[in-house]
Amino acid sequence: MDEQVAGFALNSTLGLSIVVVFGILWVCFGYYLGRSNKTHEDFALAGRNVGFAFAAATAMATWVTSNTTLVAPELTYQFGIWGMIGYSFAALGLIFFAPLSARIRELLPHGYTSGDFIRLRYGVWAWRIFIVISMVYAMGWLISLGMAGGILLQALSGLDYHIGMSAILLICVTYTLFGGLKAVIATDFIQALIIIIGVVLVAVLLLVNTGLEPIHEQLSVEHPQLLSLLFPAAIMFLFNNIFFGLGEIFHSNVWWSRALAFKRKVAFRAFLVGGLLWLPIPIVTGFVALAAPSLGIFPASPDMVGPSVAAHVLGTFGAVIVFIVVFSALASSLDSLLAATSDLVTRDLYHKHLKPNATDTQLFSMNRRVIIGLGFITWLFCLPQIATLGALLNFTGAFVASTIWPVVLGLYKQRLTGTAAAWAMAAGTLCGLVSYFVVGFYVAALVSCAVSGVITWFGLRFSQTDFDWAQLNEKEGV
Amino acid sequence: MAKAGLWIVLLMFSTILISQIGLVDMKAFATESSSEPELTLSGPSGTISEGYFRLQFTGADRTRDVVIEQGGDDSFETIRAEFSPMGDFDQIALSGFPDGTFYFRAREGDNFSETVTVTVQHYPLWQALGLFAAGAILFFLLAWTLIRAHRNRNKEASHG
Repeated sequence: MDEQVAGFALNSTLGLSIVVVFGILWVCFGYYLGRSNKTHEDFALAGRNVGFAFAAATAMATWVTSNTTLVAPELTYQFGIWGMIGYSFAALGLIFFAPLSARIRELLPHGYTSGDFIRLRYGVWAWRIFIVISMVYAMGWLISLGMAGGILLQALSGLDYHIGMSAILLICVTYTLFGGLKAVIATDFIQALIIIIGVVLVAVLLLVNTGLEPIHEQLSVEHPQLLSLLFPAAIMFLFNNIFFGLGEIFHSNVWWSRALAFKRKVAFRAFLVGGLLWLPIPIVTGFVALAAPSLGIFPASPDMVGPSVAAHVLGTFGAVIVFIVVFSALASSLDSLLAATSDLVTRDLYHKHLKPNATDTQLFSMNRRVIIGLGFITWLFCLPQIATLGALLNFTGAFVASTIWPVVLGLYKQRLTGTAAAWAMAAGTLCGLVSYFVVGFYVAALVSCAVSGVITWFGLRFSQTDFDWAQLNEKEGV
Repeated sequence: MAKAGLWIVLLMFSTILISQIGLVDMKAFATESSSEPELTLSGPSGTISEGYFRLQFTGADRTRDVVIEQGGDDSFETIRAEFSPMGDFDQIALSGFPDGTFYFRAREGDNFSETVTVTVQHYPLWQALGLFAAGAILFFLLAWTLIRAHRNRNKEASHG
């Protein structure tokens, strides 16, 4: 047996050292940026003053996550060509969010979270269902990111999963705690540069060192389904992945907080450019998975395939690059999600329901407590490695895809009522979950979106009321 | 708040340490108590509809010496392919298999596991294309709604 194939590209000390060095850098940077946060608005929304370059970079970098760097290769390894192309279509989520972000900025000049919009637009029942969906998604994504950190270190260096996962979570919680959204966006900018340069480097080196012909030959003989354009499960997966991506972005406070933090004229262009920059990245990261069989790499779990192949082909130097790129991608998403989810909990649960008279200092303090709490809960859930990243993420697809129609139509159509939106989200989620367990993860989001869409359109068709947009312009009481 | 944070950080660090110590102890224990257990291979139960699956082996003396063999048939007179698991992992994920029945066994030196039979039967194409068409219609309906609403809004804004 080839010893190099069986072994790991990095030794575990080097892997952990890179995490510690980058961790210290991110934490110091977060601390430096966090010094200028004077109010809760500074902490949560970076003063609503983020310019175009940072805005586009954070949109792209946040979307380049474990999804792109680990799950895109995983799905390519499972679904072949369609997995790779289908994954890149998740860029449509960012591109379609461009017009929505402009509308959000226009309708909610004082808004903080996506929960604010649902509460003011649809009322308390729809809001409760939405919060459940948001929290399931946020926890699912957080857990998948924490798991991805552990898997990454394990695949590249053989380091115990629990050590890698704990180290990466600890670093991200710490620098988000110090810097708030400002630190998240600034680190995203640097991480976006690292990701783009790293991904291009890996692709070029892979093509130079391996070439396309041996990969194609091996796949044609031993794994023909991966090259087939009529691969049934992969065909089912294609639109499901698009709706999953749309649902993730349209509902999540990660993206709403950015839309609200960007300068007024910047949001539309930033999301459009961010989406276009993101589009080719899954193609590149997915492509490396197709090289696995011809290189004799058969991972223990399909979500390990991307870094394992890249590290094997490119040697120790390549492994270090891959490691830094994926670590940057994970960190940029993990910090964004921690910040956005803590905003949602602080704002929607604590401020709007538990303590309406909370002072700015109390909100500031609560926001940080929530970040620590979320980090801790995520860590607890990450300890048992319950599913592959793809399966875990797509489970949340059943939830988030049900919010697509209520969000889109709620932003533009005055006639859609809260009752219809609540039913659409609840029924969509339930049907999505049934299809997830009965058919498979590759139909959950599609079914959820379709059911939610039918109910939303019926609600719109038979509604007799007109919503007053001015009700969304809620002034702060503190 | 600072105290709670400190406790959580300490707890996370101590788990890292325990995990590392635990890992070392488990390895030492495994070395001491290994008494040539039987090599076994397990695979998915039921028919596979996606062409990918995992195979897991147990009872190897040294996991890095194990190779999974794919036989041309259940007699293994011809070996179609060999798969080496990565690193110290005791399982492999395989993908891209067309419809058919496939035979696998684990080998460590001259020691073989029993044969695992995997049956792959992909979803019917009509079912896949039906869902594809439904997805396409839903997607274009959403895109049309969004673009139309955005353009109407821009028109309204420019008119005053």
